[in-house]
Amino acid sequence: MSVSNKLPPAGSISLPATPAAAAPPPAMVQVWDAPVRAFHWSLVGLFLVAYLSGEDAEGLHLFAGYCIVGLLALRVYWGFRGPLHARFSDFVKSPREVLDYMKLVRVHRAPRYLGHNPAGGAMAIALLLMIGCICFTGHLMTTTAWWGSETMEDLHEFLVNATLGLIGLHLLGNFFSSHENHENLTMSMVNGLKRRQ
Amino acid sequence: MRRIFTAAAANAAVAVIALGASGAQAGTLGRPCTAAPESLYLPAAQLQSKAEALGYTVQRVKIAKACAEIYAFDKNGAKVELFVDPTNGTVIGSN
Repeated sequence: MSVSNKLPPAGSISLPATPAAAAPPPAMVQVWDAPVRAFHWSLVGLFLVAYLSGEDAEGLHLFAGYCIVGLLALRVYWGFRGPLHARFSDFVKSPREVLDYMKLVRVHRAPRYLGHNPAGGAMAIALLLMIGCICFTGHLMTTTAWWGSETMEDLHEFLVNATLGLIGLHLLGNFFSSHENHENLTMSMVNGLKRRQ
Repeated sequence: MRRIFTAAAANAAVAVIALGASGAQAGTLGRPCTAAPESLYLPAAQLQSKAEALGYTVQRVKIAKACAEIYAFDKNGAKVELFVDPTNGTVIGSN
């Protein structure tokens, strides 16, 4: 097998107990479970559909919006009942911790996290809240009380634009963190895997 | 639970793609209400009073895509979106 050829000479490393564990490094572990990944990419798709249909296709826009509400509800549930890295308790940190982390980011000394880093966790929460607010204001626009309200429409659009800004920062954070830690975080959200160390 | 979650998300995505492919459900009329230039459009207040003369309670008149889009309540108090020719106030369609 070609795999065994790549192993360092015996004696230079402590041999693993089983041959299966002797797979070439780095060892990958599942960090994002299937529901988390399905949520993430469904949200990406539905947000895009909602954004593009906002002006011209109200039926599709509302459908996408309410699907997003359902997704958010499932994600919140999963944030309490899901596996370790899906849980809010794993990635919701105090503003103090987020700031401390950002200071380390600035000097390129930020530690690597297997789940969300503190800034990534804060971004996840910010995006969940903002998208929730977009859904809420969008729903209000369909109600009798706010029917035709320009104020509500302006607020809805403002929240969307603010969220686009957050999405931009989210992407920047991912590219930066991927670069710093020599990994591909986008691919991790596709296959769920990250390097253990 | 994990399977339900994944299945629900997948279904939502598929449904959206299918709906998108089947063509957008119009929230706008999907076609202009007039070919006339904007200089010939009636003022919003006038379009509003024409709709009110038809028995609608007007919440807002929005000019977009060669239509006057009027958010209103009908005589029964139901929400209605009127698509109106902005040059003469004729109702072309409604939602």
